Amino acid sequence: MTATRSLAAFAAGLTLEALPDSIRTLLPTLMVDYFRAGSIGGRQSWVAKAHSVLDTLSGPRRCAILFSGRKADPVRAAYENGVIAGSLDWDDSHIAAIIHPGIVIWPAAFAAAELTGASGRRLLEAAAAGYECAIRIGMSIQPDHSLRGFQGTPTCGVFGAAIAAGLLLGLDVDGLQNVLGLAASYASGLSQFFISGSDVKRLHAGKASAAGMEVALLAQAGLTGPPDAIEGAQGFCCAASDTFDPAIITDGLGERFWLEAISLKVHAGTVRLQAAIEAIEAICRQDVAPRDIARIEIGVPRLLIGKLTWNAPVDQQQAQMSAPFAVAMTAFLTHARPVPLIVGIDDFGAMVTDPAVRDLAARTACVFDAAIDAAMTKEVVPARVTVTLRDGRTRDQTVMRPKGCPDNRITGAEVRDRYRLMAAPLRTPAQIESWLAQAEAVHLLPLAADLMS
Amino acid sequence: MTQRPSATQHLADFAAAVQHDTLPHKVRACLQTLLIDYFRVASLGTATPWLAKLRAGLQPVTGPGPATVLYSDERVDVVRAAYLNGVIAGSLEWDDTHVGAMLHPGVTVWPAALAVGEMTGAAGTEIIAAVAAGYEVMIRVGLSVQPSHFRRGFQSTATCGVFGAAVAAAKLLGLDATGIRNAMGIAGSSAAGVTQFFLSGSEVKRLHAGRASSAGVEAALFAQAGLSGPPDVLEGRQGFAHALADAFDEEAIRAGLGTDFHILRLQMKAHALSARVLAAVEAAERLVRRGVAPESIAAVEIGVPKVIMGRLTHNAPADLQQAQMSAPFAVAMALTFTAERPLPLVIGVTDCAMALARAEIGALSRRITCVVDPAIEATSTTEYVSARVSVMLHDGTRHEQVVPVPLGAPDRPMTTGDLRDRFHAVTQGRIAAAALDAWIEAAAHPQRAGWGAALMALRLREGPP
Repeated sequence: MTATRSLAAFAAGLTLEALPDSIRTLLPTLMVDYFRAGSIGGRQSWVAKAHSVLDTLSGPRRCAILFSGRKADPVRAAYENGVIAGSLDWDDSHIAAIIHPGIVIWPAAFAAAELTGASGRRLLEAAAAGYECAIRIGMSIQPDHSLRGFQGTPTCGVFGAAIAAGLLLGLDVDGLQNVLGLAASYASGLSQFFISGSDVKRLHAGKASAAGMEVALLAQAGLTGPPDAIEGAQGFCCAASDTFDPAIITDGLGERFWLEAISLKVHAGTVRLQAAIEAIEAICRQDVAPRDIARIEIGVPRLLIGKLTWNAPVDQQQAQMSAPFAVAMTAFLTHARPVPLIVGIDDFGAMVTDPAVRDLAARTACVFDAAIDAAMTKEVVPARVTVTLRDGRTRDQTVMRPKGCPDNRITGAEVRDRYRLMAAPLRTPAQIESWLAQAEAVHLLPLAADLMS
Repeated sequence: MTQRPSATQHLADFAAAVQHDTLPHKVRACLQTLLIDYFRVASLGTATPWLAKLRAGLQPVTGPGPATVLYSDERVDVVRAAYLNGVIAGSLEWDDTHVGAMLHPGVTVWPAALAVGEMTGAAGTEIIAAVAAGYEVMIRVGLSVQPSHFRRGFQSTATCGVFGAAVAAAKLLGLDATGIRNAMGIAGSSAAGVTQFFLSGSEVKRLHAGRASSAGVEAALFAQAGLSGPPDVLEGRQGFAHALADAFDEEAIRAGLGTDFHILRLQMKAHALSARVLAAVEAAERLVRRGVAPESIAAVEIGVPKVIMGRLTHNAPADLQQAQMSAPFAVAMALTFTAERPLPLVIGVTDCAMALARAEIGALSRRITCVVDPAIEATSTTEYVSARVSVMLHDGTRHEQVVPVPLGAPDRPMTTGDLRDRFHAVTQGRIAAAALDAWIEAAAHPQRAGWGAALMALRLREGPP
């Protein structure tokens, strides 16, 4: 069977019972973490700007906007929720696929579930199928896809959102194949923001989620897409990458779940710098203050060089994508914060223009480290941080498995604690506990939409 | 030495500066014909099955708003209006074409500009200026990445179209050069659309122009709301050209910008077929007029340039979309219809659908092969594709016709009179001739108050096109 057909058939046949226990446990945790990100996204300046546009465009308002009391049509709701939760660089990440699937899939899945009155069980099945499709498509074309200049979250994410929404709209395998065929002509998103900044990445997850919702509606209405739009010679994978391995999409589909290799982030920055943040935190927790530091060296794998290694970010977005800046900032934050340290999105906003942090960032350099490169896997990016003090002494810390990676997971309990912490300004403790109880038993909920209220 | 602006900035600066009154007279005259032809093709696209499905699909996600859906009283939000009007006009393969840029600018730029213009109450001259800027940006972006962009599998109406639509919309939203640049930066992340439909059919290409138009409008609205995009979205090393093409010719963007207008080099299509097969259709038509009877034909060879081999050369199309993109099938239709019909030959979408149902046309198509012809390659340009058609008859004789420049190409343009006549012809019985003449007269005067509203007020009587 072709890749496109295989993914459609896999999605159409997926049931909660057939999932491995680990995946069944993981899904509500990922869902809670999506809401956790959503609870802090609403106050960001770019969300207000995106909202001002999307709100005036909205059709019949049947789907909720996270933590706002507002509603919008399913496409605009998916868009806005994707921006709210997916613009913080504080989301789940799949290292090998180089995507953040959750922030694209959950908004579309919830919008479709609200539209159709789907159950919590159907929501989880749809999300699981969406994650696996997006991840496998990503893995089949990475890293060349990223090296060309595409950001995998919107480009591959649209397929996952489309599958999740299509399932919840009740499409069969042929309908889902059309969903994928149409999604291939909506798959877009560039990574020039790595180099020159701007707000556009804040929109990427929402845009892709909305597109996924949209193509599901179009396929439901009977529109068709090429049956081999993913793997065809003029299809998405060949157009958007120079390397494409269709076997990665089809091998073990339905038996092996690459979703298992997902990471959650402790800190609001790219997943590829979590280890470096943890390393500098450990060094500073010993006896090092920022004023003692002459320079910092970060040992990184080759893949990061040139993309996440710029040490003079032009804006908050770039700061969240800069290993040197994040490490320099962490050196300042460690002593001011309780354990465990959480570097949040607002920290980047507040400190991107701080002269002392920028000065230390300028003295922080990334170098290729063969040992780190060798230790990098499809699941984890390690880091070494070496601090040279003004008196000439050095401190060295290597983090092989940062908190949040598959071998060192943030647990369900920890995710719930993060949710309690971050949702606290918006909800009473009783509301938070009652919501968490519902989320824990989402598979039993008659109406998935209740989680959005 | 002053640093020259980036290619993206250069286009944004140009677009911001375009004004109706300073456009060359030829460009303004050209826009008149393009406008008439946009409404002409749209008049044929209001009753297609894919439009009905699109409307049903979008219905739950369409807001009430200020923008008219063409030939109807329905008014919706500007993003959906651009989508629907892009599909109404842009799904028939009968639209204006830039051969070198490999795209159809009109069906992407007009819907965006007319929708946003309706929302802002823009003057006709402002809409014309926005459209002029949108066409020029879209064509130049296309030229800068072709043909490798196409070879990778991208359809540039869909991909480059977002920039043209974004620029036109941004201008009408009153954005300055920085705002237009941000709209382009945001639009770059909506540049999508693959060409797998060439190989395996489906309806997705019917959506491409509309989707791009709506994405451009959306990007412009985001830029107006204060969101920014990368300032070097086109040329940056992780930008549009690097990601979606294998070669980038920055000079195609810069050369003559503001003085040399590529909008003057569009091909207007005589038939609802790919622009690249129209010379072959004309050659086939002439062979029949010279006396070749379709039933006497044993085999046909079409001499084509390399670039269309593999994409437009399938001789057994699987569906209507592929039929409109097949040089052999187009030639089979031309041979058959020319023999059956009075002058002049016009092959529309419904003709293609009918032809698919006729076994003898399919059989004739399967006896037609395409070969790369160096002489045809040599006369083909970035403005048109030449063709040679050679027929071998059952009696062993061979007849050949070369058409270096198809009708409608910039070197052999249709006149304004031709374009009026065919608008009348395709709307016969659906728009009163006097009403259409009045509309065409009004369209020619963008200085008049209420120009945009008057354009959108054109209606069709019920009935098949």
